[in-house]
Amino acid sequence: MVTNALKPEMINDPLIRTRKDWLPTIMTTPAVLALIGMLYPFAIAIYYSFTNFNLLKPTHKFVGFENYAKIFTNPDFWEAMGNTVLFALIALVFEFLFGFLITLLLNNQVKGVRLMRTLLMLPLMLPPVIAAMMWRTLLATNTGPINYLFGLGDFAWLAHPGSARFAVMFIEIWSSTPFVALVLLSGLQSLPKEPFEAAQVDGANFFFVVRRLMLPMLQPFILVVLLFRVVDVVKLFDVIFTTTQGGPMLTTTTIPVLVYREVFKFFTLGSAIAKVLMLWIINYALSFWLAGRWRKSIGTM
Amino acid sequence: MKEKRKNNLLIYLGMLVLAIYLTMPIIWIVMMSFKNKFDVISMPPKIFFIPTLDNYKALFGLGKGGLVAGSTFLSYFKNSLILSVGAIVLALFLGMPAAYAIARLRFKAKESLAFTFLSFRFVPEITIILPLYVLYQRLHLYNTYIGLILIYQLIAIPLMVWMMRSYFEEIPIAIEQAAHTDGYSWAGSFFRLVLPLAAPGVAATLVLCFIFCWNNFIMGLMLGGIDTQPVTVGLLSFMGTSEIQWGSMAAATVVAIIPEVLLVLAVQKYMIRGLTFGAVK
Repeated sequence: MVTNALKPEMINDPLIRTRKDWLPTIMTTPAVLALIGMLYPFAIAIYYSFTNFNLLKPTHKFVGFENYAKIFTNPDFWEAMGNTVLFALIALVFEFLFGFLITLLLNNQVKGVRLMRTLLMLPLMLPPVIAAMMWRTLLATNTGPINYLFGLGDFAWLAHPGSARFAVMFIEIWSSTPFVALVLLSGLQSLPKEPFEAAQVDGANFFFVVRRLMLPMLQPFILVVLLFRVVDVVKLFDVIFTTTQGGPMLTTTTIPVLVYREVFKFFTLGSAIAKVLMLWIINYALSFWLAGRWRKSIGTM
Repeated sequence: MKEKRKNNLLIYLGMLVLAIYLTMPIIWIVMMSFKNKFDVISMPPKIFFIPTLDNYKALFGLGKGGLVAGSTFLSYFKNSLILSVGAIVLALFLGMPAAYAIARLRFKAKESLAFTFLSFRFVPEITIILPLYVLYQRLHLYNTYIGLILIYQLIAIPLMVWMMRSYFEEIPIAIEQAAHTDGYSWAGSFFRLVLPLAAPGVAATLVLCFIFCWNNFIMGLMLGGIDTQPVTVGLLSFMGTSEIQWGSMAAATVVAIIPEVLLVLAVQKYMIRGLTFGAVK
């Protein structure tokens, strides 16, 4: 009879060592099955990317690397890829900049800071579609308050390449900056106080404290922010779909938007999937690298 | 002293600007939802107006607003509820045992398993959705609640596993070891000791999971039809027509975000932990 009583040497073990080797297997099986369920469509996706699969045609055949080869000469793909990278860079820079400024602002011990933290959660939790609809309403050509406020008459924000790009970026930055701010703020408040007090005693100036103390000590938190923001902004879809649908022309088209349009307009699923897999490779590499750096920065967990 | 007061003034000024920036769009939409159809398009925009409930009445199918989307709004809302609740219930059964095993038990491949779950958070959803678009039609899962609840697991399981793991890890292991020495079974100590202690964390995880599912757009857009699509997709129908119905759109937006705002306020303490999958506590 095996009893549940633990052997003495197990008592100080930080993890429970179990004699029942089947226990972890049983407990993780449902989730692993779900994972396999998700990997299966992914495997089909890879297969389809090597075929001329078309939603309107009953059959498809294997075409090898044709879809991938075509990507390299497809100007639409490169424009969308350019937009994807450009938007990601702009969004990250500004979300970081504003997020850090908000962090510094709310790191002060004054009344109202808690209320501000709550307010920060609101844009963060709105579905991106709804945030985009709100801003689309505010930017409306004839009825929007923004055009009135800035005396822009009937300026059509979403009809010009420059302003459409600005609008899309602005909405994304508006909804995600609070995430950066809240993570950095939690980070800042979990740091030891002594180095900052010592710096104050030594009369170090504010910029020195930020650059030499705050930023290096916040590194693990900055990496977490990067990890979550990079991968999300690279797959930006909802905001664009709700506002510009990728236009005018292709100026706000990112890879997911391009792929969506290709599938539902031209039905060429095979080549569309090849394009999105290129994006997946970038995303996977970035997240893997950042997750690795993050684990290193917090030491062994 | 004077220097400090000046500093505080600047801080308050900054906070005021920030507060306006964060809430202005939401306040504006709430105001729009109470405007009649003339006030809503008046130029200059009206800040003072006589509020009306017409938009809300039309939304819930009371009174005649001449709406296209109004009568269907409630069914979108219902779809969102069914999908989000269904998804978190399924994810709870699938994810919680795994979260506990990863937090407590010792087995090979533990960390790589955990990171595989996390990596699903980073997949562009459209990669998985496109092949499913074909597969679901063959399996008759297209435009069904079950089909959508299954694909929502892509969002729900990684969050469930990682966030709950971080809560289980915080419960002192000595409690369980003592229970096992006293003859508790694994299941017994889990349900009678661990789960009650982790309850606030588990509740917060469920709420966040609900919010994530509620916010989703692309899955319903591509794998659902008019009978199953969530409210995020349904709202777009207010924008699709040539003449945008600003008033009803605003009212629909307000109703769609009310459950979320309430839930966010309830779990704000746990928010950052959830959004970073337990990485930042």
